[in-house]
Amino acid sequence: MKTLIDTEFTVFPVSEKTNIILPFTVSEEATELVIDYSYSPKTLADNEKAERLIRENLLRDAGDSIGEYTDSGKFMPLKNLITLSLDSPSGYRGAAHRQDSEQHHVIRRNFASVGFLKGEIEKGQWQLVLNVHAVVTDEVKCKVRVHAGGVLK
Amino acid sequence: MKKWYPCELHCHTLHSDGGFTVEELMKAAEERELCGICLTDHNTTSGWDETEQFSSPKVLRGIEWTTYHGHMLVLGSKAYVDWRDAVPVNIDEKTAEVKKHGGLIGVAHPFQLGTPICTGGHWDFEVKNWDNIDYMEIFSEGSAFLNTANKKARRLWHSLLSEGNRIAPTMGRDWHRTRANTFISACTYLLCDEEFSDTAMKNAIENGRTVVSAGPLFFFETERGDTVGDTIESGDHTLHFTVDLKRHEKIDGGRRITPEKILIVSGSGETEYPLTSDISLKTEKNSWYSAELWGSVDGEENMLLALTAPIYTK
Repeated sequence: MKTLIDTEFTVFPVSEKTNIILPFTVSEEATELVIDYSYSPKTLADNEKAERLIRENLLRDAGDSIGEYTDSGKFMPLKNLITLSLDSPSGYRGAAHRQDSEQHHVIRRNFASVGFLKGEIEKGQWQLVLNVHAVVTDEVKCKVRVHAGGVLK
Repeated sequence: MKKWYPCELHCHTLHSDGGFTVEELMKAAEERELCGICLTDHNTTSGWDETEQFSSPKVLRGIEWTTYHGHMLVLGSKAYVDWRDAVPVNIDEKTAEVKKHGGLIGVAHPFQLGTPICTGGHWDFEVKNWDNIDYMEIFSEGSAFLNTANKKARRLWHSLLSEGNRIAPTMGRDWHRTRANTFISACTYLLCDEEFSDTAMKNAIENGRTVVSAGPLFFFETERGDTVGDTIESGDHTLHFTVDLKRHEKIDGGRRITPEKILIVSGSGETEYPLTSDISLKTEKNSWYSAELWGSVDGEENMLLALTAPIYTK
């Protein structure tokens, strides 16, 4: 196994609706990429803040029907959502668009974890992209590790 | 031979955040007598290959661009176009790129609440060129009727038609799992005059040959056989209507749908007719005419049961 990325960082609400790009280079023959990813917290525990964010959402998106949304509780708990997508030197290799905040993925020539596209672990520049869909807490701690497996030397 | 085919145009699997395996989705679609589905997982095409082992239903390959500013359905594009840099002000360039690769583009649930409730779910793209948009979901998610979001979608769609745009209406169940599904027979009916296939589905949507339905098949033809999606001369026409509840009764017989009246909606307003097989209609130049079937469901009155894509006048 060769470590390609091993990093921890904090994402703040200002990064909502942006992409965080983590480039890495595969320089040796490899048979698989292994991605381990987690972020925390998943949900917003502060109910007062949740009420405020829901109110802001309704003011923006509900328009003249805002009065119909009387039960903000059904939208709670609000969740952070930071998904992963992947690019190889030859193009897009899929995404894991789901709520899980702990994920493990494997990509090989003839197999890939759901959401990703199987295929050669090409030499060259790849990128793992964190798609920051929602940051509802004051900060989110992210942990990303990418390994290349089956490296011959 | 022209025929209407029930289809579900918005489906997810485990490849994104659905509860279905691809096989489970295909089986569920068969149980509902759906002839075609669009596999539109969020931001990935990784489920496409798995559909190849099934001969039925037919699968039109798609992807739901689950962006930060709206969810956009892309069907049958020959190349991947990146969803991640789509922002409100560049959407026309992004849709043009998809069109270059032969893809169809649909607006998914335009009035869903957005971030952080349903991330990116509210359509905030500043579309200037609606020519690139082929269809819009009028019925979405759990409700096949006019809930608040669907009502707004219908209103937006009507205003776009009146501005001269040609956009097909669709029902998108946004199908993630069978649990808690109601309105089992709701679907989009597609009119195909070729052997049914993914290409036939694509052609039907592109040519505006769609009917959005809570269950019944509902459509009309003119005295010359022109129908939804077609362009006809303005003037006097007789529209011949068909209402067919067979599929609905077979798969969702417990839900009592009773058609009661027909509404013709156009750029100049709405006209109500009793349920009848023929309606005489005086059409204006450069306009559009969509038919709606209204009635009761399980005793609840005044429900929109189905609506057709428009027939257009020269």
